[in-house]
Amino acid sequence: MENKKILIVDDEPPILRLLSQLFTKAGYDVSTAENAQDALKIIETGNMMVMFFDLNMPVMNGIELCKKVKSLKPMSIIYAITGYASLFELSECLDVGFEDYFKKPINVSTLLKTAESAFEKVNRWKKM
Amino acid sequence: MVQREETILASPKVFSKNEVLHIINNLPIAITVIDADRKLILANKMAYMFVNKEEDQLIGLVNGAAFGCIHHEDSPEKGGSGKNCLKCKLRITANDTFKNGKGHFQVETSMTFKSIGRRHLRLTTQPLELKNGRAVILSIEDITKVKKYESSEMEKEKLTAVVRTAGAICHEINQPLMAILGFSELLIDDVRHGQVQEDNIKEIRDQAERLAEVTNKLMAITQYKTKKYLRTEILDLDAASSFVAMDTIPKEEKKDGK
Repeated sequence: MENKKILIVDDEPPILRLLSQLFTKAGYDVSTAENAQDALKIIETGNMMVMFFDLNMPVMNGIELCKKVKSLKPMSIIYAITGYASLFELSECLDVGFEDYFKKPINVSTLLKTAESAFEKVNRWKKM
Repeated sequence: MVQREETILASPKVFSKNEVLHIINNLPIAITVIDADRKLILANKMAYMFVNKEEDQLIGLVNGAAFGCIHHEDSPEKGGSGKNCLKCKLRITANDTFKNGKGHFQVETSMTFKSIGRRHLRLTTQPLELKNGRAVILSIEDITKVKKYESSEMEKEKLTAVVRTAGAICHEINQPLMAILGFSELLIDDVRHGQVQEDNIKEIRDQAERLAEVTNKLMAITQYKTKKYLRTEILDLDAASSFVAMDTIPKEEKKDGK
């Protein structure tokens, strides 16, 4: 379980509850945060490698948070989830280091497959 | 009789054609002088340039023929029904200036010419007394480019507003939609395992209510207010709408977890 920690950051509590249940059911150790500040505290203390960030959050948005996390933990795999974004923002997501981005509503099986492939990558890197 | 003090050329003397031509020739907009028969008796350089014609192709012809209006052949004077001529603002403005001795300022109209196609014009007229009779001085500004620019700017503004509204709709609807779809998936799985979580059903209900609230807010938009969304802006649905949300489920019921 130590290797299967997921962090979800979203200012929408129902989305946090949903993703928390979904990933917990699938066997992941899930942490959640409603804002970037709380997320950074969790990242500093926990060994998080796979993360899902909402893009539109107050104070620090998902793009800025991703930039910050990537500077602290360059090997982390971070996915963007957004209710609405223009192509400009989506290309910026890739620039700041997001692995991929998803537009809400996302199919839960897509999210599970994404998490699975992210951990496969993490395990592959660890064997190097 | 024209009252001279009402003319832009109010002067104790009556002008000769050459004097008028001397004044108008170097002005940067098309200017013509029309006699009582609506024939061009003078035109400045810009007037020739406006319709790409030489002096002898303009002077002595009535307005429509001189400028090459596509409706000229159908004019009442030519025996046509002249429906377009009767509505023609250039004709109406010039005739009214003759009739009432008062000028018109920046009358906007569209005309189609044989040589230069459809143009948007701004017409200004002023009565004028020449040595051999009354006339009307007519200035024609071609504002086609300005109108096209204004129109494209308006289109851009409209498109921006539509995109910002679409952004708000996506943002407001996709959140509850994701929760509904996601919790429904979990519920289907729970049913298979015979472990239905009531909280998840309530979550679906709450999010469906949230969707209804979004559509109510959309229907009650009374103003255009935006808010920052990442690097762009979207419609601020709460600020733009006059809709006040009312709980459809009584508070006691929600508290009891029903």
